[in-house]
Amino acid sequence: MRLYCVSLNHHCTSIELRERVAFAREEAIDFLQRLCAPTESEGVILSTCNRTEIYATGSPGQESTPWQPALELLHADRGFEPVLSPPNHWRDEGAAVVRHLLRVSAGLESQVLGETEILGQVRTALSWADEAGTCGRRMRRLWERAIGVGKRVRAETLLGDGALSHAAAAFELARKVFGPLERHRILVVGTGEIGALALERLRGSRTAGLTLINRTRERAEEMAAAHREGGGGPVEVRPFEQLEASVIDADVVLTSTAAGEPILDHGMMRRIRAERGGRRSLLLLDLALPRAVDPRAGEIDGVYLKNLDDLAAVIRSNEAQRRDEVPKAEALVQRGTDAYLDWLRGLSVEPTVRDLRDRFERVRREELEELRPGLDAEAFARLDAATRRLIARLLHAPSANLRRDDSLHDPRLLGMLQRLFEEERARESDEDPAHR
Amino acid sequence: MSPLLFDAAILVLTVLYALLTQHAARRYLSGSSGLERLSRSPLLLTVLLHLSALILRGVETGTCPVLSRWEALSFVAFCMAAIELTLELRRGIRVTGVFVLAPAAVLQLLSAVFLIGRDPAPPSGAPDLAGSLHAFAALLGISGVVVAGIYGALYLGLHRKIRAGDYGGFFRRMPSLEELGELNATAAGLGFLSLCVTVGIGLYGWSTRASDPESISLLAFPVGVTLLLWALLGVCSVGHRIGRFGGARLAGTTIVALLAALLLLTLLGPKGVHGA
Repeated sequence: MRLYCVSLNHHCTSIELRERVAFAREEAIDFLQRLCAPTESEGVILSTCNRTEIYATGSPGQESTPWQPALELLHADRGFEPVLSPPNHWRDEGAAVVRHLLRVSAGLESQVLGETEILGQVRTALSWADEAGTCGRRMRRLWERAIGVGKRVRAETLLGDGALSHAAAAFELARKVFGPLERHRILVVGTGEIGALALERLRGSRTAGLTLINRTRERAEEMAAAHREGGGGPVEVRPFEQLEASVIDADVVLTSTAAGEPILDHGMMRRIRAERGGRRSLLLLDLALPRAVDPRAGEIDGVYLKNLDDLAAVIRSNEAQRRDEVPKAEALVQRGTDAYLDWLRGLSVEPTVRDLRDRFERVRREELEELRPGLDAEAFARLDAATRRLIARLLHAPSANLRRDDSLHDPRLLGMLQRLFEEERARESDEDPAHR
Repeated sequence: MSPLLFDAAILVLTVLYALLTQHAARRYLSGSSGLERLSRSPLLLTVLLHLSALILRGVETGTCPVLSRWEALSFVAFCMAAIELTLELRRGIRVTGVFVLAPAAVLQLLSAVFLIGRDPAPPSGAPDLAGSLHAFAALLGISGVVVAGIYGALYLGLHRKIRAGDYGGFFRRMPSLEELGELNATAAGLGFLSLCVTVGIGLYGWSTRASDPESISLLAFPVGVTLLLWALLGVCSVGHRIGRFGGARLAGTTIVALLAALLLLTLLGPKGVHGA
C-alpha cells in the first residue's frame, strides 16, 4: 500500500485556487467514490477554508507518482493545473503524509497556530469518507490516530490556549479579573465592530446580565435582536442617558464607540466608584479609538482600565506561549507518527506471520491426532498444552522480529517467505495422499 | 513510638512533602489540565499519612504532639497542607498549590533536620485536653494566617501585573483575581475561627488560674502578637463577610498578619508562645 496526499493549503496555494477546489459534503463523497472505486483504494478528503487535502492509498505496483489519479480528477472536476515551480500544491507519500496529517490535526499547520476548529474538521472528513465507503482499515486507523494526537496536544500542551483576537483577549482579561462571568454583569457601550464581535463571543457564555447602550437606540436594538437570534441570551437595551447608572451596575464595561471624546470622564468614574462602594472591582475595556474612557480612570482604586494596546499585548504574549509549546506538540506528533507506522509495518507482515503460525498449528494437530489413540484424556490434554506452548515459544521470536525489524519488511523478502511455504505445501500435497 | 520509628516517620514525611512540592511545581509550570486532575491524590495521601503519624504521637504523649519547637513546625506544615487540600476541594483551584506546599516542605525539612537522630521529647505531664485543643487551634490558626498571607501575596502580584500590563507567565498561570481573593478570605476565615478557639480556651484557662504564680501573663510579647493577629484576622474576616473589606486591602492585611505569624513561629517553644 502507498499512502499519499495532495494538499492545496494556505502555505502554497492562492485563495482563488483554494476557493475553486474546496469541497462540500456531497462533492467530497462523489469525488472519493470516483477516485477510489476503480482500484478499490481508500481515501479521505479534508476540506477547510485554508486547505483541501486528498489522502488516499495506491497499490505498490502503481506508477511512480501515486497521486496522479487524484490530480487528474482535480483537473477534470475543478480545472486545477498543478505547477511545481513555484509549487501551487504539496504532495508526498509514506511517513511524510502521516506526519503531515498529524501536524494538521494538532493545529501545527494552521494559519492561526494551535487553533481548535481543525480537530472537528478532521472528524468531519472521516465521516464523509465513511459515507462514501472509502475509509478502509488503514485510513481509519490513521484518522483515529490523528484525532487522538490532536486531542492530546490540546490536553497536554498550551498550544491552543490564550486568545488571539481582540474580542477574545478582552474576555480573557475579564476572566482573569473575575473568573467565570456567570455571576457578573456586562455592559457593552457602542455598536462598533469590536463591540459586535464581543457580543458574538458572548453568545455561548452565561452571564448575570448583558446590557447594551448606544447613542442611536435603533442600532442597539438591531444588535440585541441579532444576538438573540444567533442563540445568545437576553440583552437589555438602555438609553444613552442611563450610562452612568449602568456602569454602576456592571462588572465589565466594554466601550466600542466613535465618540471622539471620553464618554466616561474621571469625575464620572470617581462618582461611579463611590456609588459602587465595597469591594466590587470594575473592569473597563476601552476598545474605542479615539479612547472612550479617560485614562486617569485606571488610577482609581478597584478600577482596571485596559485599552487596545493592552489587548494587543495579551495577544502577543499568547502567541509567544503557543510558539513555546510547539516542540512539545511536535514530540507528540512524532510519537503518533511512529506508532502508526509501526502498526502499518506490522500489518504488512501479518499475512506472512499468520501463514507461518497456521502451518505450525496444522502440523501440531496432525501429530497430536496420531498420538491420541495411545493416550488417556488427561495425558492428551497435557500434551496438547505442552505442544501449544512449544509452538508459541518457537514462533515468538521470528514473529516479533518480523513485526519489529524494518529490514525484513521488504516486499521481496516477504514474498520469498510466502513462496517458501507454498512450495512446501505443494511438495507435501504431492507426497501425501491426504493432501490431494 | 521508638526513636527509630519516630525518625523513619519524619524522614518519610519529609520526602513526601518534597515530592508533593515537585509535583505542584510541575503542575504550575506546565499549566496542564491533565496533570491537574491527578493532583489531588498525592496531597490527600500526604495529609492522611501525616495525620496518622500525629495521632500516633498524640496517643503516645497524651497531648497535642508539639513537645518541641521542631515538632510544632512539622505540625504547622501538616496544617498548611490540610488547609490547602480543603481549599482545593472547596474551590477546585490547584495551580497555586506549590506556593503553599513549598513553604510547608521547608518547615517539614527544618523540623526533620533538628528531630532526626535525637530522642523524641517525652511527655511533660498528665494529659491535658483543653491545653491540647488550645495548642492545636493555635497552630491551625497560625497556619491559616500563613496560607492567607501567601494567597494575599499572589493576589497583589496578579493585581499589579494586570495594572502594569504585564501579561507573561505569571498572569497566564494564575487563577482570576476574584478566585485568589476568595482563597485569601477563606484561609483568613479558617485562621480566625481557629484563633477564636485558641483565645477562648486561653482566656478561660487564664481566668481560672489567674492567682497561680506559674500562670502566663497576657502582657507577654508573643501572647500580645497572637492577640494582635487574632484581631487583624477578625477585621479581615468580618469585613469580608459584610462586603466592606476585600481585594487588595484584604490581601495587604493578610500579608501583615503573615509577617506576624512568621515572627510567632520563631518564638515557639515547648510551651508554644508561652515561654521556653
